[in-house]
Amino acid sequence: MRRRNFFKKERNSEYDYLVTYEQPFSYVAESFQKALVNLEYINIDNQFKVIQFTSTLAGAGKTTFISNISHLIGKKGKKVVVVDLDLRKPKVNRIFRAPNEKGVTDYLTGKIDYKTLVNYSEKLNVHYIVAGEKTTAVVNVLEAQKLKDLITKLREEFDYVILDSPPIIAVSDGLYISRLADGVVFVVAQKETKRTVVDEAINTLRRNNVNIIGTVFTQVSVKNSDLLAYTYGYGYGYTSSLMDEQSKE
Amino acid sequence: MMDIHTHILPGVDDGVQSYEEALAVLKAQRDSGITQVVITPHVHSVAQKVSSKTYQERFEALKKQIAVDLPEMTLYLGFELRYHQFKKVDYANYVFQGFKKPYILMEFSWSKPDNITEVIYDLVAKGFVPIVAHIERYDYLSLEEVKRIKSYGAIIQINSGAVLGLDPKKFNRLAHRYLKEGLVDIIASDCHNMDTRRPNLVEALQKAPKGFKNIELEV
Repeated sequence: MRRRNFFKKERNSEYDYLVTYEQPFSYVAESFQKALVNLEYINIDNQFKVIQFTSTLAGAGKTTFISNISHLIGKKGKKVVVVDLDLRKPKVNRIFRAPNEKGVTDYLTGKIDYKTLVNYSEKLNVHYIVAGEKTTAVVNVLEAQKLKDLITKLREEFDYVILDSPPIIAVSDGLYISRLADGVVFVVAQKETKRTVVDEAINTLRRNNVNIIGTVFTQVSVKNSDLLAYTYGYGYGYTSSLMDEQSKE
Repeated sequence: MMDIHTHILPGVDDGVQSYEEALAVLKAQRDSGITQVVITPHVHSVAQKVSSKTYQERFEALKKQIAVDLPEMTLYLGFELRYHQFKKVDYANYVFQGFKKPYILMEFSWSKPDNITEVIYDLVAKGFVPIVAHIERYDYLSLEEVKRIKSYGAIIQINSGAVLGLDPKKFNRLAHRYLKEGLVDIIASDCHNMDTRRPNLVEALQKAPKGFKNIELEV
C-alpha cells in the first residue's frame, strides 16, 4: 500500500510547532543541538556557508529539521536565512505562519525588490525567503543567473544560508540547487526510506560531484532502541541541574 | 436564515436567465423561510458569460427591483471564484460584500486534483476566511485532508442537492459522510433555476442529522 503512494506522500504536520522553541530542554531538542554541534565541527573553517538540505523522497523531515536547526543557529546570535527552493511543494512559509507570496519567483521576475524579499521572524531569530508564485518553468528559475547573484548577496550578508530543496529521487531540482550550495546535508527518515533508494540518491549526487557533508537520521523511534536507558539517565540529570539553577535564583 | 451560495444574477452565468425567473427563485426562498441570500455568480469559470466587472452594476439593479417586488428579502453580493493554479488573482476583489469578515467562496476542479490544502492555507495566512464550495464534489480529497482544511480555519460548505440525493450518488454519499463526521459548517442550495437545481436549502436542513445547524456568517 505504501508503494502505491511512493511519490505522492507529503507530510502535512504542524510546521509552526518547533520543538526546539516550545520544549528547549526535551530530548529531541537536545538531538538537534547535537546535530548543530556536528555541523559546526565540519564547518570549522567557515567554508560551508550555503548548505542545501535534501532527501530521497518527500516526507523525510527536511523542513522540520531546517526550521529547528536554523532556530538554534539564530538563538546563538548568528545571522541565518532559510531560502525555500522547493518551488513545487513549498512549505517554509508554514514555519513562520506566513502566506506564500512575495518570494523567490517574484523576485526573479522583478516584481519585488531585495528588501521585501527577505523577511525576519523575531520569535525565532531567523530570516526567511518563501518560494513565491507558482511557476511551470521550475528548472529555468533554478538555473537563472539572478538566483546565483541572489545567493552571492545572501552569502555576504549572512553567516548561514540554508536551502530547502525537493527530494532527489522524485525530481531533478535538487541537483540544480546543489550547484548553488557549498555542501549538501542528506536527510534520511527511519523506516520510511529503503536502503536501495538511499544508495541510488547518494550515487546520483556523487555522479554530479556534489559535496555531501553529512547525513541526518530523522523520525527515529527512541523507544525501540538501546538509546532509551541512556536517554532517560541523561535527560533526568540535565533537567534536575536546571531546576537547581532555577531554585537558586 | 441565510443561503450563501446561489446563482440568481440574471444572465451572467449558467444560473437564472431573466428577472422573472430570479423573482420566482427568490419567492420560493422566501416561502421556505429564507430572508437573506448571498448571490454568488461564477468568476474565472467556463459558465461565466459576462465580465465580472459588470456584476456590481447588475447586482445593484436587481437589488433595487427586488426591494420593490419582495421587500422582506435582503440580498448580498458574493462571488464563486474558480481556482486556477497559474493564474494570478487579486483575491480582495472577490470577497463577500457587506460582511464583517472577508469571506471568499472558492471553487476547485472536480476532475483534476487541485492542491486545495495549500491554497486554503495561503488564503488564511493572507487574512481571508475561505469557504470551500461543495466540498463533496472533490472526491480526490481524503477525509484527512478535509479535516486539515477545516483545521486551518476554512468554512466547509456542501450542497443541498447532494444531501437530498438529487446530485449523483457519489456526491450524496460523500456529503452524508462529512455530515456524520461533523465536518460540515454550512449547507447551501447552489440554486440555478426553478426545475433542475431548485432552491431547496430548508428541505436539506431537515434531512441533515439531528442537531446540525448552519453556522452564521457575521453581517
